[in-house]
Amino acid sequence: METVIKVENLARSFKTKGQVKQAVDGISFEVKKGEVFGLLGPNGAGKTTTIKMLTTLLLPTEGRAEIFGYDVHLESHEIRKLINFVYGGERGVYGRLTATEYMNYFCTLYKIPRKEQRSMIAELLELVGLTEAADKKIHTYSKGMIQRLHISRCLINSPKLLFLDEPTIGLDPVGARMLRSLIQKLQKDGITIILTTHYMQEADELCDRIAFIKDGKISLIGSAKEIKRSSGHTRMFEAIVQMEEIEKIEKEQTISIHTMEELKQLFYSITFEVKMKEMDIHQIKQILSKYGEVVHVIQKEMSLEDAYISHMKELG
Amino acid sequence: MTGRLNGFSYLSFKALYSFHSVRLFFFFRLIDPMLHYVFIAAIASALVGSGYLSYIIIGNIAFYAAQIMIINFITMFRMERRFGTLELNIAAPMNTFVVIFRKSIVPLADGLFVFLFGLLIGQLLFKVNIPWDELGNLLLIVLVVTFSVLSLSLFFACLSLLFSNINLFLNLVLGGLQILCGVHFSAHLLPAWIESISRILPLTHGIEALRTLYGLEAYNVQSLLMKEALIGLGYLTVAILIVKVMEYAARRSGALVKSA
Repeated sequence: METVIKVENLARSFKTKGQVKQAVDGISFEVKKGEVFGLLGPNGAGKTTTIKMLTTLLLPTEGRAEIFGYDVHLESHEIRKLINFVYGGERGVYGRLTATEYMNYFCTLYKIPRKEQRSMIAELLELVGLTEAADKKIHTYSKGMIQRLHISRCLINSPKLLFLDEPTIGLDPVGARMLRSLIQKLQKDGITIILTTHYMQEADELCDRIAFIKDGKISLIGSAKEIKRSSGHTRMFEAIVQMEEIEKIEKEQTISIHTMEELKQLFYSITFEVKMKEMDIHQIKQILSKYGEVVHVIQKEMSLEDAYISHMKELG
Repeated sequence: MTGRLNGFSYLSFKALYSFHSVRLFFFFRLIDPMLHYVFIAAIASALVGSGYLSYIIIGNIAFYAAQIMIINFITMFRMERRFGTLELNIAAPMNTFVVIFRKSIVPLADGLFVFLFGLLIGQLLFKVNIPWDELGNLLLIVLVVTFSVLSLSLFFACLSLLFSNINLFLNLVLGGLQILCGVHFSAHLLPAWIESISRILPLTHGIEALRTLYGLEAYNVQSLLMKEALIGLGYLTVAILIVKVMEYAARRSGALVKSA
């Protein structure tokens, strides 16, 4: 299958107030045609910097990256014809314009012939469900509508590669669902997609392959299944406990808590991982009962989120 | 017509320009310049007498129009950064200089309007009579000065790719233009080495040509106009040449992806 992105030892540092910050630190990966490739990591991990370099807006300080065989450093003009991108959030729009005018503006920037613009704009706005709001000023739009407008804008040049940087950030569940369906549709149309997100379920649902990135380095790469399997040495449990001093359990060495939620006074729902494979559910109950009453414990299937948290904890 | 109105320059104006309503236009493009000229006229009259009024008003009409053009043009780029749209514009396949140039059309029209309206105010308020018999030459001077100032604005717009906030720099340059270009007094009064700087700036020769046409100085208008046009052409050439360098430098420094 055709390689769309080839990244080799890519690095980017920034100098601020005399100090050098290494935002991306020698990452390498490849993305094949038609793949949805996820870049997951905590804030400041280097996801957006990587995307800015691949979209030719930022030059790498070391290493190289090729998009469709074109060098991001030297052949940005060729690359820009083939790609487009969406950065999450409400920036990147002109609030005083209507959606039609906004699309018109970018059609001109992307040199779409004038006679094709009208039908193209109508088609793209319909695709994202904005036909009704096409003549409303963008500053009246909700976050979800702005994100959908971004998607329609980024399809103007019929890109072969799309970069979506946290496209569902701040969206309500319905808006996020709609956007995910759109991304799936674009993938079916053969568009290669690079996606960054903080929502693991979203990555699990959409991505063919995923890379975990932290402190500018890629620490794990593979399909969601492979990543979950790579955490096979850990097992996940979910428990409901009644405890007076819940903070004590956080110091327990044999378990590592991922999430903790107070259900009602003194009752907590916790999810945690256990590294020791031989430990069974009875032993887990015994450990928990040292801190309070155990209402319920079950072994949980490892989710991508569990694998992510476990992996990030391992990295420290 | 609809097609024209939906053009790139018009949409740029609608998206980014600092005012849209007739009321704001009235205040910023009619009242504000008038107050500026009255203020300058009052100071000039108090300091050197009313005989100098025409001289200083002509200089200020040209300077105020230039200031409007430069500030509005650069403000558009600052707004692009604030809205997070600059990188979307740069990442498009259209040549960056063409993008910048097309965005300059509205500030150019704005500057032209302020210039011509300034000349009318000069006649109505200060009796700086328009030389109607030289109207063709007058319009030519206005056009050439506007072109040279536009070229300087384009140069600044190219710089603004690299510097996320060039306001301080811009204020210094506007102050410099006011001192060096003979706005309030003849550039010949400056020390020789400073005058040589004035001679490579837009406005200086244009203001001298304008004053000559108004009978306030006695230079060769054609020669001054030629020099003003050549200086404009020079800045335009530099802007075209540096735009790629600036874009590359901005990609290297990360300035393109910084917001103002």
